[in-house]
Formats: sequence, structure tokens, C-alpha cells
Amino acid sequence: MTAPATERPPVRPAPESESWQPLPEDIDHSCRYPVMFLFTWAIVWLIVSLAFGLLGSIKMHAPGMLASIPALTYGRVVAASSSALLWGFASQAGIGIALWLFARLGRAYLVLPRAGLMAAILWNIAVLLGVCAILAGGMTQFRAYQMPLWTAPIFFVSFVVLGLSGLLTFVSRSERDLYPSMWFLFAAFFVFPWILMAAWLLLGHYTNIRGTLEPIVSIWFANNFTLLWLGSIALAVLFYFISKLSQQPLYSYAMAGFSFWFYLLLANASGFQNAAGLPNWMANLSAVVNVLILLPVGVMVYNWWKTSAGHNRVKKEKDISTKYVNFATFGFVSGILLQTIDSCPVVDEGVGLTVFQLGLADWIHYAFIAMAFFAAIYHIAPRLTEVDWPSVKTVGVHYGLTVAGIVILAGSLMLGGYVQGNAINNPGLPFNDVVRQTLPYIGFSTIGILLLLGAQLALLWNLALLAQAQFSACCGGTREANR
Amino acid sequence: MNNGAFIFLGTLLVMLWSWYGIVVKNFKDITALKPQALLEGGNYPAGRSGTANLGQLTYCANGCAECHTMQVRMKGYGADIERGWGRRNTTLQDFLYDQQVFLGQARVGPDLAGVGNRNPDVQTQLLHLYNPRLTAPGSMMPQYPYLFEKRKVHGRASRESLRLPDNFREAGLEVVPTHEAIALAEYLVSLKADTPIFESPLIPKPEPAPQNTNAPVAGTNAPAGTNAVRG
Repeated sequence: MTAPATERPPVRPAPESESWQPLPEDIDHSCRYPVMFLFTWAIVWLIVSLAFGLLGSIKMHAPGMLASIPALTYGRVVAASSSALLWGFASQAGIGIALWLFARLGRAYLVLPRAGLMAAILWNIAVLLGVCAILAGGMTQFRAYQMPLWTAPIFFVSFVVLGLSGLLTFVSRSERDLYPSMWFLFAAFFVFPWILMAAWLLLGHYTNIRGTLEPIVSIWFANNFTLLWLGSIALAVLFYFISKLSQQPLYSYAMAGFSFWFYLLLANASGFQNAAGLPNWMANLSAVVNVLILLPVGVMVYNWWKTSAGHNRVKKEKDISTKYVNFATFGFVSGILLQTIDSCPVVDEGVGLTVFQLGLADWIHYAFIAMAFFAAIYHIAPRLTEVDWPSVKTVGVHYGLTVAGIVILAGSLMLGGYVQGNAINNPGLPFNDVVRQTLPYIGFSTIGILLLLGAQLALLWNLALLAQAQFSACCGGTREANR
Repeated sequence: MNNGAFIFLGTLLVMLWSWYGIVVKNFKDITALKPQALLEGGNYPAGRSGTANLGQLTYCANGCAECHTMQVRMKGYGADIERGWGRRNTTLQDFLYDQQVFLGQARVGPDLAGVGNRNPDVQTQLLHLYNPRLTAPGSMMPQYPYLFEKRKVHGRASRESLRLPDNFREAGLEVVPTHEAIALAEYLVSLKADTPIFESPLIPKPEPAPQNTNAPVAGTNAPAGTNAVRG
């Protein structure tokens, strides 16, 4: 892979003419500052999240460790870890990728890049405030929104600017045809402010609402946050790269349209499959949509397979994003499949309400969403900085450690959940023995987190080298000297 | 699908279906929930004491819900009832007056929906919070020393101080729970979702299973005759 050429043609058609479209490298240039800022801080937050996760995981084995510090009690550390992952890393990287895709697929310059940069700074301030507030004892019990809800308006303001940047870029596009990735991005940018406002108003603002509504709204929020906000952006990435890397047009737009609408329609009613305390129809509804969703997912996979099968294998294998895209596709399909299996009553009786659920959530967050986002970051960052990744070896290390970490982390928690569920369902076994049987698996998951943490430090190091190379290319000597 | 307005409208419809079907529908249902009148008099739920309600804040702030669920599954679905975690399955009615509801997601620790029945003594709950190994040897629960205050004994030990076993006691010092710890313990003691109600009647206690076999515990799925709800 080479950095895109920076030479601009001496003459280009006047902007007024019908056929004029901005050059890809000019579009990249217009995205550079907000998107690189979002990527860099996303990776920093991922490292913060994994560091907290590691601490929490160690505390599972040593409950007395650092027990006298309220900020570092297990519950708060774990909540800080998941908030940093979902809001600091995934949402932030997702927004950056979406902005770039909006600009590139629509062949338009990114609109409002400076305001976007300011909004990105605001977003990071909100995550920082939220995580600090969790450690200080202000956490909530809402899934996927454990930061105090007064952070929601800050996120909202920040997203209005970033969303406007994406939307105006979409409106000003010079390429009228909408590629399926654009549909998913559009849906994601529509869903996010809706669920964010719903969470803020129903969970945080109107306190005279019955507390019993809270678990329902918070599970609805968490499910839409994962599958329709982050998941839609990750699917946009997969649609983009599967066609891009095989240099083939998408096999069928009709299939893509079918899978888009049915994925949207079904995924939003999922999430309640394991909640025993809620009205039964909710668990049943989620179980039904989790089975039905296999249809759009199957169509998606068929479409991707027909697009990429056999074509241009050489180009595909040369690109560093390919293996990330492949793993993310596998993570998506297997994650949805596991979720379907998990919502069968027979399986839920065994593994519902065990650490299996944590393992499955980790699998979807890392193997599907994070891997798709890594693929995009590896593809986009060198185009924005106009410098190649300085160390290809580090990319290999990052990929290997990340995959190993994800498999060990999620796999051991799922296996542990199976063992734990069997033990819990054996009423003769004292609960201490249940814990004792589960602990070795949690120990394995600690190793997984450690590997993931090492991998992300390698990625940050590579990104720092990239920034250094870019700096010396633009400000410290000629470009040729640094090639 | 090259029209942005078409995608906008479609997404709007999809979100409206989700919004109506899950949020609005439940909003209506749950707003209509009323306390149920019991045959033996009184209503269920009766609501918790003020101190217990305050304890919810401490329960939330320390992330207790990360490891503890509060949802007992129905008889014949898992062994929650046989384990003694509750006498019937949990319903939303049990949390009718609560500002915060902690259903939880994973049982790293035991279910707490009926912890007030298993362990109705505030002092024991406080000891468990101070150091879980005091009341449950081998427990992996973190200890919460920051919810307690260690202070010098002047003359006689204070009435509220923890009654620690000798090997945990330090000479001249006493351990006194803060108001947060007391509120949390009161909240835990108040968790006893076991009154039979219409949607969740009480199942009679099963015969104990013979030791050292995996035979299913005796009992049937037939509805219990003790439906104590009027009307």
C-alpha cells in the first residue's frame, strides 16, 4: 500500500461544470484535523478502558486489593471501563469513520471541519467528566449509559455539530448515487440523537416517571446503542471495504436494500431476551426478532460473499485492512448467531444471567465493532496524513494480539458462563463453590484483557510514529527525504 | 434508494415502531400498575422505609448491580427458587415504589431479590459489607471499608459499633458504620419479594431432594392453591 499521491493536476475543470468532482486527496485533506483527532483520542480511551478492565479483572481474584479507595472499588472500575469503551472509543471512532465515509462516498469536501474539531474536543471533555464522575460515585445503573445523565446534553450538543457536519456533507454530495454504506450511516446518525434524548429525558430528567420503567428504557437504549448506532456504522464499514478491497461493485443493491430495512426493523426490538424480571412478552418478542434477524444477516453475508469471491485476491491480500474486515465479518455473523442461540429458552435457562452475557457483549463490541473500526482506521489514517504506516510489523503484532485477546476474553467468559450456569442450576451446590468453579475462567479472561491492552499500546505507538513522520514530512524537510 | 428523504422516512418509521412498541407501550402499562390489596389486609408492595430508599443511592454508586441480579426466575426455569433466592419469581410489581431498579445482568454474586428473607439482621449485613469473609468464608465480594469509620474508643464502645470477632478487632479502636452503610444495609434487609400476588403466586416449598443425586427436586408445575389476592 502506498500513500495517495499528493501531486495535484495543474488544471482541473471549473467547479461550476456538471461533471466536476473534488479529488479524493482533497477530500481527505478536508477531513484531516477532525477525523485524526477523533481517531487518536478514541485509541487513547480504548487503552484507558482496557486498563480499568484489567484492574477490575484482577480485583476479581484479590477482593481486598485497594479496597479502601472508594474510586477503585470493583463496581466503579468496571463501569468506568465500559463507559470509556462505548463512549470514548467506539462512538468517537465511529463518528470519525462516518464523517470520512460521508465525504468520500458523496465525493464532497467535509463541511464544518473546524466546528467538528471543536465538537470532538467537547465530546472528549464529556467522556472525561463522565468517567471521573463514575469514579467519584456518580454512576447510574443503566446499561451502556453508566455515566451520570447530566453528561447527555454535552454529548448531544457535540453530536449536533458533528452530525450537522456529516449531514451537510451528505447534502452537498456531488455523487448522487447512494452506496449502501450511506444508508447505514444515515440511519446511525438518525438513531443516535433519538436514543440519547430518550435516555436523558426518561432516565435522567423526568424523575417522576416510575422507576420500574427504567430497566426497560435502559435495555432498549443499550440495545439500540450497540446494534443500530455502533452496529450500523460498523456495517457501513464492512459494506464499503468488502467492495473496495476486492475492487468489485456490490453484487446486488436489491439484496442490500432488503437486508438494510429488515436489519433496522428487527434489531431495534432485540435485547430483552435474558431479562427474567420484565414482562414475559418482551423476552419473547426479542427471541422472535433474534431468529428473524438471521434472514437479513444471511442475505448480507451472501451479498458480501458474491461480491468478494475470487475477485482480485492479490489486491485484497496486500491491503492491511483485509484481515481486520474478514475478522469483523466473522465477528458480526457469529455474534448475531450466538445472540439468537442465547435467546432460546433452553439455552437461556443455562447461561442467561451468568458471565456468558458479559462474554457475548465483549464479543460483539470487540470482534465485530472494534475490528471493523480498526480496519477503517488502518485504511483512513495514512490517507489523511499522507504518510504510510511507519511499521508494518507493528500492524501484524496489533492484529495478532487483538484477535488472541478477543478470543481469550470472550471465549473464556462464555465458557465460564456455561459452567457457572450449570453450577447455579444445581441447587445442592453452595454458592461459594459456584464462584470457585467460575474463577479460573475469569482468570483466563484477565489474560485476554492484558493481550488486548498490549495490542492497543502497539497501535498507539504506530500512530505516534505516523504523526512524527507526517510532521517531519510537512514541516521538517522535504517529503522525498523522508520517504 | 438514491433519495435521502426516502431513507429518512423509512428510518423514522422504524424508530417510531420501536419507540411505540417498547417505550410507549410499557410506559402506559407501568403507569397503570397499582398496589394490590392482599387477603390478609394491607397492600403490596407497602414501600420501603426512608432509610432503605436512601440505601439505593449507595447500592447504585458502588456498582453493586455489576455482580448481583435482582430477578428470581420462575419455578422450573433454573434453580433459583430451590436455591432459596426467593419463594416466587420476580415481577415489576415488586419494585413499584422504587426510584431505582437494579435488575442486573450477571450473577457473579448471588441474587438479591430476597436477601432480606435470608438475612434479616442489619448487623449481619453490615459485617458482610465491612468484610464479606466474616459472614461468608471464601466469598469473592470486595470489602467496603470506606463505608465505615475506625475511631478510638473512649470509655465504652459506641452502641452502633460493629461486633467484630476477636481476631478482627484492633485494641482501642472500634468500627462504626457511616450513614451510607446503614442505609445500604437497611435497603438490603428490605429486599424480600415473597408476598404472593396475582401474576406471581406462591409455590409450596418442595420436598428436599435426596442427598448425592442429581434427581430433580420434587414438585409440580401445577398452579399453587394459595392465591392470596382479592379480586
